[in-house]
Parts: sequence; C-alpha cells; structure tokens
Amino acid sequence: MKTEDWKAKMMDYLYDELNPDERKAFENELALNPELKQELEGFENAQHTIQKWEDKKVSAPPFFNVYKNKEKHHSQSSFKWFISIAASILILLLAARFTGLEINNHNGEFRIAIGQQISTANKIDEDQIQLMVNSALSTYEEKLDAKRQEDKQELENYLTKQSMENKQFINNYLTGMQESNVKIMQAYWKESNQQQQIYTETLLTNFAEYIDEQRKEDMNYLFAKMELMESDKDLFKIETGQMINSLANNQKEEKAY
Amino acid sequence: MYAVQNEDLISQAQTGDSFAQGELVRQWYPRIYNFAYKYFGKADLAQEAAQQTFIAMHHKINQLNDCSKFKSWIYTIVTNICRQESRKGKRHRWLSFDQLLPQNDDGNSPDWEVSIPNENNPEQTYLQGELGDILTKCLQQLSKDQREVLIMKEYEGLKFREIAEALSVSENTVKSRLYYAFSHMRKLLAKENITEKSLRYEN
Repeated sequence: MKTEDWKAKMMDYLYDELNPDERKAFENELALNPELKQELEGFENAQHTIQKWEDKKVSAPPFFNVYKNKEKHHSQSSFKWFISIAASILILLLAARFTGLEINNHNGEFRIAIGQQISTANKIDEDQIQLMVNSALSTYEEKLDAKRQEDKQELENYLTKQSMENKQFINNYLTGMQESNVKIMQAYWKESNQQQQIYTETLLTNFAEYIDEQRKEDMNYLFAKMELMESDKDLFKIETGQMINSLANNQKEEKAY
Repeated sequence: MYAVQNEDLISQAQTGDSFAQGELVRQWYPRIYNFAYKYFGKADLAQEAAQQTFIAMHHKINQLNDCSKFKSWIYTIVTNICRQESRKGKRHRWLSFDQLLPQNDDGNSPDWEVSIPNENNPEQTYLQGELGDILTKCLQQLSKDQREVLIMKEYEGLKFREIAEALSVSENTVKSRLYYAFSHMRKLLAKENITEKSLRYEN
C-alpha cells in the first residue's frame, strides 16, 4: 500500500489538491484501509498542531528608498561642484581680460604679468644664482656649527653637573645608611644582652629552687625509710618475744609429762 | 487583478524603480523573515538571512525572466542563503540595514523597528512562545530537505508546483519529502506530549 504514489496522493488529499475523481478513489481506499485512515488522522492532528504556531509580526526596513535617495543626493552634489568650478574659471578669465593679465612660458621660465609687458632683460645668470646659493649654504652651515657647539657645551655642562649631584646624593645616602646600621646594631646588642641576663638569672633562680625541692623530697624519703625500719624492728621484737614465750611454754609442757 | 498588479510592480522594480523595489521589500519581508525564522529557530539569523535575500533580490532582479515566477524565485534565494549559512555552522556577520540607515540624533536605534507590538493578550503570547519553542525544537530535528518543504507548504502556503520550482526538484519528490516530514513530526510531537487536544485545552 505504501507506495510513493500513495504517499503523494495522501499529501494531495491533506492539502485538498486532488481532482474529484482522485479524491473519491482515495476516500474509497480510506474506507477499506484502517491503517491508512489512522495514518492520515495522525498527519491531520500534526498539521493542526503545527498550524497553531503563528507568524512573528515584523515590518520591513525602508532600505531601498534610503539607498536610492543617497545616490540622488550624491549626483546632485557632483553637479553642483561642476557648476561651481566652471563659474570660477569664467570669473578668472573675465578678470584676466580686464586686468591685462599676461602669462608667458619660454625657455623653461614661467612668467605672469598684470597690466604690463613681460620683459626678460633683468635676468640673473646661472653663476650668480650658484654664488648666491653657495653663500647662503655656507652661512647656514656656520650657523649650524655654532649652534651645534653651543648645544654640545651646554650638554657637557649639564652632564657634569648631574654627575656631581648624583655622586653627592649617593654619598649622602651611603653615610646615612651606615649610621643607621650602626645605631640598629648597637640597639640590638644592648637589647640582646639585657634579654640574656634576664634569662640567665631566671635560669639560676629556677635551678636553686629545683635543688631545694629535690633535697626536701630526699629528706622526706629518708625519714620515711627510717620510720619503716623502726617499725620493722618493733615487729621483730614482738615476734621474737612471742617465739620465746612459745618455746618456754613448750618446755613446761614437756616437763609436766 | 492582484497578481497582475504584483507583476507590474516586479517589472517596475526590474527597471530600477526604487519605490517598486521598496514596495516589494515591504510586501515580502514578513514572509521571508518568518521562513528563515522557522528554518533556523533564531531571530538574529532570520533577520540577517532576510536582509541578505533582499540585497540579492536588488542585485539579481533583472535576471528574472518571468515575473509570474517571482514567488518561487525569491524562495529559491532565501533557501540557498539559509542552506549556505547552515553549512557554515557559525555566525557570519552580514551587512546590517542599520549601517545603511541614517542615525537618529541620539545615536540609538534606527528609525524603524523589526518587531511590531503583539496585540494579543499576555497569556496568548506566552502560550505562543511555548508552542514556538517546542515546534522550533522539533523542526530542527528534521532533515534540511524535509524542513524546507514543510515550512514552504505549511507556513508559506506554496503550491507543490511552486515548491518544486523553488527547490529544482520534481513535484513527487516534494510530496515524498513532505510525507516523511509529517511522519517524523508526528512522532516528535508525541514525544513532547503535544496533541491537538492538549492545545485546545490550553487555549
């Protein structure tokens, strides 16, 4: 049943795109085939669920109008520039006509004259120009040398002064540091001696107390021992007395028999 | 009558008439945006794909020989752009309309807004959001071929012939892809516990 043709027909039926005859044939098949009917119902349910999802409401950006307007504006601007340049050239030509402007370009010389003829009489030759250039250059070099010497001297002075100041600063710093170290060491030794003295005194006191305590304990021990010995001696005496009495009694009894 | 007017508009746009081109953008932007949105499931990608589609339309509209095929032609463009972007698999920054538009005095957003405020009640908006999330998830699990056909048929309302023209395949192939798309969607919706009845209850 599930041929590609029937799948296509089912899709056509789902979207109502079958002609009446095809539709009738498909409905007959549906009546005979419960499996097909069940599948179609499943598809219809899925379709209804999917259709519940609405489109997002969005608006289009005004892109093309803006894009075109920019071009138009640009072309208008270009035209305005062209007209402005043309008008400027026209004004310059009219001004030249009324002021008698003369422009001459001859043998590499470009000359502009207003209201009079261009004359080439007052001309400076090449050697004179060279001389002027050389003179200007040498003057400039002299000035440069002088300035360089002055700067060098100034720099040396500055470096010497800085070096002296640095040395002085380092010396002061070292001296200060030595003095500070000496003071710190002295304070340290003083404090250390005091601490050691206190420690030794405390130690000796504690030792004397310990010895005293130990002697007391030894004496107590000796007394206790001596008492014990005396007690033993008394007991021995009593026992000896009892034994003598016992022996004496025994002897009396033997004699009586 | 409408179709004739629309074809006139396309012919005018082909002559470089900026108003006609702007009108085409205005008419088609929501459709193309929503196609891309359902394809990707992401608003920013959809916006960029829609923009890229209309830039391509602006450049290539002269190549359209038959104005009556504008619909399938523009869906061919947006489908190709969506496929291209999907293949890249990463974000690629296109030229934004914002960069072409004059800025406001305060230098913030441009003069137009993408979203139009939703006029529905908040509950309806919330339910639409939830359903949208689930359907986006399901659509993303379909193959690209099935997804394209399903969106074009179900949401864009294209005829099978128009889809076949847009995708350069036969009508039977379109129907076959749609059959498998529905078959797959039915299972995915069941997995998400979404049925017509549950939706009716929620609404």
